[in-house]
Amino acid sequence: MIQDSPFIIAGKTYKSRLILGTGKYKTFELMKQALITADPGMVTVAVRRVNLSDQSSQSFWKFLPEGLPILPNTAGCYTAEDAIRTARLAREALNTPLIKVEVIGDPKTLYPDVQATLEATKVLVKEGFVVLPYTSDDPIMAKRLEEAGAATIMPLAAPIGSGQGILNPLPVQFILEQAKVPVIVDAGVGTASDAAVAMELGVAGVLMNTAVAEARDPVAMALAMKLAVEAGRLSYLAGRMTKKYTASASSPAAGVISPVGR
Amino acid sequence: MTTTRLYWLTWLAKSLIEPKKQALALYNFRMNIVLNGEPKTLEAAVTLQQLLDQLQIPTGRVACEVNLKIIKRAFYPGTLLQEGDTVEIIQAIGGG
Repeated sequence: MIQDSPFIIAGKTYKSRLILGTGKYKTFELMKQALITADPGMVTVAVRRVNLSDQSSQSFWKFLPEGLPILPNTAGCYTAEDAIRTARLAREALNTPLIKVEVIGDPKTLYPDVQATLEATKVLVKEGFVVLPYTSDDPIMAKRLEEAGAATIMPLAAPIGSGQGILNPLPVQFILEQAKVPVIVDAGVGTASDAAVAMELGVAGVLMNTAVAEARDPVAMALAMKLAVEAGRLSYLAGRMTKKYTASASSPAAGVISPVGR
Repeated sequence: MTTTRLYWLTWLAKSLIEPKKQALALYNFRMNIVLNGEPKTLEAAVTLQQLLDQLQIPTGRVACEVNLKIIKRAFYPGTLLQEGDTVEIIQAIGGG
């Protein structure tokens, strides 16, 4: 049986190459069941003001399975300054050096503002954060982020929450070829086959949220994603057959029973 | 009423009312801060820890800023809030 190498980010090993977001679930209970079923390597969380008039969101933590590594994000930030401030607050609140740097440039497409992302990455790396930047599929930007000290590169496959799948595998492959840090496809996965396709490209992991949370049956989809990531990774390691332009029969030509009448 | 008695009565009245006035001033103590983007009036000078206790916010997974400066958890009891302070109380919640 094929032995996979461990999934390591900044010196720490994570038990699964699937990373799940914790937003958009209809109920916290549903989120909990999905997370238990998917058994991800990490989960992402957002950082927000405590709602002083409605403290119900604080029970969120009761529904997170024990021992799950937490990756806070800077979602909601539109400037490097905001992202840096949010990262510092997240580190203080959660006592973790991990931060997913997400700086958005446009609320409609939720495309990352890569310049601001690079700026924030540089500052946060200097402050000792383990930075996992969410970025576009631009290989040059990926190179710059890695040079700046990012612990992973997380290119989008399609816009956040769009579920469009791996729209542009080629630049993701370019990024993979040059990166010395793990490449994790983040955003755009819509269904299990998308996750498998991403893993078959050879990426180290996949990060998704909406694909599970907004499935008709999130718990079933959580299992599907777990299996898809494993299947995709195995398929990549197994080495696929070469695509051929013409057909090549699978059954031997010799000894074919001749049709009646010939 | 004689002048002396009037003076005596005035003195008595003042000595009774003055402490009440001071007590009333304390009773009417108001301090205005901005909390999570909204104005908030505090009825006493409080520390950050006391404010969190009043709001029933457990300090476990929160981060606090006073005037854009992150305050470490150990310093919550020692941080006295002042008039005009901008306080942010932040938590981690579900997100992608």
